[in-house]
Amino acid sequence: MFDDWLLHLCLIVLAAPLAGFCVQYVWGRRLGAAGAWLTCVTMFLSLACSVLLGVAALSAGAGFDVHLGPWSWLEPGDGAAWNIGIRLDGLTVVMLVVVTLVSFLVHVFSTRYMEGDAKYPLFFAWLQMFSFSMLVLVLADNLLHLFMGWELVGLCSYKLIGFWSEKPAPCLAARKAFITTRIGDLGMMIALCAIGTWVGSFEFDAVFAAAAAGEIPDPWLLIAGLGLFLAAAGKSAQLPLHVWLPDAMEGPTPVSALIHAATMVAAGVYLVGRCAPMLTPDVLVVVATVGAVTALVAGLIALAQNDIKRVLAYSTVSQLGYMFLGLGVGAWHAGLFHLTTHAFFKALMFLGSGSVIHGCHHEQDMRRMGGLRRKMPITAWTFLIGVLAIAGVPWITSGFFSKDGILSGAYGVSPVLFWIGLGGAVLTAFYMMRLYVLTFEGEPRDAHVHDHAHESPRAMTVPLLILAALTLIIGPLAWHEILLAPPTSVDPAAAWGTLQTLAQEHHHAGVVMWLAIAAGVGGLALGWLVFHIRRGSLEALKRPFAGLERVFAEKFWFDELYAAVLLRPADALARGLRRVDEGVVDGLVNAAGRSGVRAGEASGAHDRRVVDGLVRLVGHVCQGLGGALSALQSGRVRLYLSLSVGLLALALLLEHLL
Amino acid sequence: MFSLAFQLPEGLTPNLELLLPEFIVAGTALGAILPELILPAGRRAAATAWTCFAGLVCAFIVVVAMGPSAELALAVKDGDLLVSGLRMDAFSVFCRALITGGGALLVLISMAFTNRLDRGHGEFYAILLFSLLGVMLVSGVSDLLSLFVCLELVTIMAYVLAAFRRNDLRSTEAGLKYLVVGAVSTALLLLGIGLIYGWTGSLSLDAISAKVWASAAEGAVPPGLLLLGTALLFCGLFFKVGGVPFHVWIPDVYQGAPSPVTAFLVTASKSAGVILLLRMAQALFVRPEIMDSTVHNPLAQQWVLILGVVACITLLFGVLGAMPQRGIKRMLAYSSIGHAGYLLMGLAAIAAEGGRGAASGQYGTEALLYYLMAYFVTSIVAFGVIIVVGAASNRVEGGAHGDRAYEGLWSRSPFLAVALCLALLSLAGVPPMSGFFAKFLILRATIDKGLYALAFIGAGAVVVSLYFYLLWIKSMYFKAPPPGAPSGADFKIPASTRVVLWAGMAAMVIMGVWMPPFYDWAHQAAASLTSLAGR
Repeated sequence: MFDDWLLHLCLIVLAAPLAGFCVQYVWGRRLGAAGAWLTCVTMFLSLACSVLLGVAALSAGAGFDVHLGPWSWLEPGDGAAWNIGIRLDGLTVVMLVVVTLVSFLVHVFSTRYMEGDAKYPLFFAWLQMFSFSMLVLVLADNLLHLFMGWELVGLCSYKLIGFWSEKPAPCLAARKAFITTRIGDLGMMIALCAIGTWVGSFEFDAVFAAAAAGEIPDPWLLIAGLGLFLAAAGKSAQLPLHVWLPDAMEGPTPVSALIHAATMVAAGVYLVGRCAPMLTPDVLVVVATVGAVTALVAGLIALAQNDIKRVLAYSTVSQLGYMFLGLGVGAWHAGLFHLTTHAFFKALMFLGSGSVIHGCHHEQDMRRMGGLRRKMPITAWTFLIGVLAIAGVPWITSGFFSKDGILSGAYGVSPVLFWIGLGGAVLTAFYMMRLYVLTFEGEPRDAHVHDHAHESPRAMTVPLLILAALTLIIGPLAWHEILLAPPTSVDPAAAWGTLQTLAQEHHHAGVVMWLAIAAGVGGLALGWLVFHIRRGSLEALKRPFAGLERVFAEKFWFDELYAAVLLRPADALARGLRRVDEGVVDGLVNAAGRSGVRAGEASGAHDRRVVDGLVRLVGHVCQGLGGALSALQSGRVRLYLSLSVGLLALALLLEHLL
Repeated sequence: MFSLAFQLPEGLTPNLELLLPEFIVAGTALGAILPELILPAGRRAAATAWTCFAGLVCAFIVVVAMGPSAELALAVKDGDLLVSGLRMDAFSVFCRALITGGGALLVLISMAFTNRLDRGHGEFYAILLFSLLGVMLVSGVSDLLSLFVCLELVTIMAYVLAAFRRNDLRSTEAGLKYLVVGAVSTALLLLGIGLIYGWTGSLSLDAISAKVWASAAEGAVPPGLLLLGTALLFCGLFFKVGGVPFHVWIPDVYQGAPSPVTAFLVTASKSAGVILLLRMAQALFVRPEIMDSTVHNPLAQQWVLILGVVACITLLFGVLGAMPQRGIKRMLAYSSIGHAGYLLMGLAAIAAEGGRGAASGQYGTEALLYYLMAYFVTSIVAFGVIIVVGAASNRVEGGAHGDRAYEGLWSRSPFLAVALCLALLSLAGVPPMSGFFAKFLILRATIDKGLYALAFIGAGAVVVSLYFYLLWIKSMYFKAPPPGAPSGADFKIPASTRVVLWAGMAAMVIMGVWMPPFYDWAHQAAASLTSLAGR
């Protein structure tokens, strides 16, 4: 009975955005603004049901873990079954609420932000499709089902980054995003093949049980784990596959907020978190290292960016790195809690930047902003809350709780990772303060931009207020026992060994907390000092670091590196092959032709008859052959029949003789 | 001794209510002539078409109400010999549901064509319905005599339909060609039936099956007479489905016949062949209650090879031949030959099952039935578009025909372009479309039976076929409309066609995303086929 209720709620959660997509895709043009509001309604319905599911989870108490289904989707033979199934536990419920809530707010925000766009209805259609796909991914109880959602969100991301397909830059960015994440998906497919071969089932619990029981041979367990992480790194833009995310900012800003900050890019973190019981310690070390390095490198790059959205994009990459660091060091709960808090405050900041861009008439360069706080106070204050949260200002912001958990987890496992993480925390606070000050404080640097700036309409500011409120209040959920409860189905100690217990012991170790507070507040203060109070002497301050700044501004030359190592050789190969084709093959053909001509010329007039005769002979043969071939389908029935019956007789004769 | 129709064995009463759908269709076909006689000229076309539609829907409802359930199959066991030579099992229920449902859609899309005729609506629909009736009866045949009679009902009607536009040279040529080629294949079919009868002494499929397996149990090599007989019989059926070398009529006839008739040939008429091939394959190759033992069926072993080779050649001929085609109907004709190749691959898998002597699931039969379903829906969508575009091209003075009429279709009628695009993708077997699972199931069946070479060629042909399907999609979406092509306003899409296209697109996507319920139907039908064929 209870399960039936849950199933119906899940179905509404899924069906509402799917229906919205269908209606909007087909009749969107006719519906106009009403269609956009309709998608808001479907999203709200989905949100309401998700909240009900959350309430159900809370009332069910600890150990809430419900499996609905599985329903057989395909029997590929050999007794294997590929199923569709829904799994509801603390993690799923939190993800559901996060996805539907952010998606709903983004829908509302977009009703005004995208106003006047030629493809207005289509935008909402794809937002709906994305929400549906993400929910499919989150609700999956097996890897294959998850993979379908995984690919669908990738497709939606592609469509939405390249939404303004009449401009070249979004198209290129969309292609880059798609191809880069495909590289990660290759890892997913390898993992799926390995799991399918050794376990035969893709269901999470079955896979974890098989991994714990040692049914998957060691190298393959490692390969499967690394494959899954590769997929996660592609989707979540971790080094070295992070290059697509900053370019993805070419898409409309609400898309950046929903897909490239709050939900889809977090899917990689979700995948690693979900599959944590099957990841071997070796894989976890890789996860933690990649996460920490990404957190630091992306933070450094963010220092030197001037486009407001690009700073946020690199900050997202960096924060996702933190989440992986948390998962890698066994601070499972903190890593996923950071996913949750980050979803809210990063969506807040992206929508805030959208509000700024909207207010400044599509100006994205921070160097031309400044002093916008007086023009758009709601945007500025809510944005400031986001900045404080991402910096981890203690006790009043949710970001503090999650980041602190990750850092204390790292402290327990490896001092190196901890210090890298702490350095990243200082950087985060510093560049976010830079972003805030350059945009909202100080004197306006571009009178034109400033004069025309205005606060955004209510449909855009209300989502900001809601997100800001959530950013402030969800911190205490960090200690909740049911939501985001670690998986109970498999004994965690067996799979993660001592890592987790270590992290538990050091949870909120005093020294770590104070260091984290110092890093966050210190970074903010430093940023305020450098970019606001000592603004005048900024150039002088920067001079000794000119070389470094160049490195950061050029993003460590990742794009150039890939161009040189991957793209250019591939291009060269293709060009080389073409040259072989044109030069050698065509050359041979031409040479043959020419030599024939020469031979013909050389043979002179006296045997013209012979040559003519030969030419004519060749012509006749060719014509005869072509004629015979086309005559096969000439339309003459007699021929058809003699062909059919003749072939039949021939076949029977052969059969008889053999 | 073979028993003639309506001559019942002792103690059996005719169970005529099982034939109710057939009676409804036959009655509707006769009634379809009436509106032309009594109604004023302007309202005849619609009245006739809607009458036929209503009749087919009624028949469909009755068939579905019978249900492809095990209970029916059991009930049939008592009174199955409704008339000697016909058997109404779950398999035939499945096929009849497919034919009546698909036939109703066929009637709907034909309206765009018949609305333009000034007379002959009654004839057209009556003949169409009689032919559908033939296909329905074909699905239940259980002896060779009724096989012949029912098949001829389908075919002779189809000759007339192909030549329906009497004033059009191409149409009459198509009809004549179809008739001549068909007559020869019928002669082969009859010769085959005669030879089989000569060896087994019976026309009943059950008796033939028993004899074949009895001879297999003795370890005897099947005599040449039987092999020749089955070969000729299968050739007659290859003619219906378009297997090489009996495919020759297809391009010309598909191109020349009026588009609704081509749609009929692609779907219902071809299904008749497939259904009979399935019945024959079950009778000749498979016998589940014996197959658990070590008995191998040497006839089936021989046929695996023959069917495999024919399937490959058919497949390659179809996909390679489709590439240079410039007219969409001719392209679809070759594509239809390619699809016949896949169907024959599934048949080879069934034969392999018998040849191996081990019952390891009925993958082949289910795959073919699912394929029929998917192919039916897809073809109807494709032809729904083709009929509308053809009608518009004819209306425009000097309008562009052939592929020119489809260039830039997207910019002129997005709806038609999307529908045709989805249908072509489904024909190609691209994943979220029903055609994907159809091909997947066939390939699974062949791999399951160890026919790896066949599966490899089948998978390769998918890639090749993508090329020409995508070329058409490219031309629809990215080319500029040619001068003289019908503009958006020229496409008069009747409500009936619009409904069919919407429903068809939805069905293609749904079948491509969530296959299990459809597969279960096919599975039930396949199970009844095997369970009854052995008796």
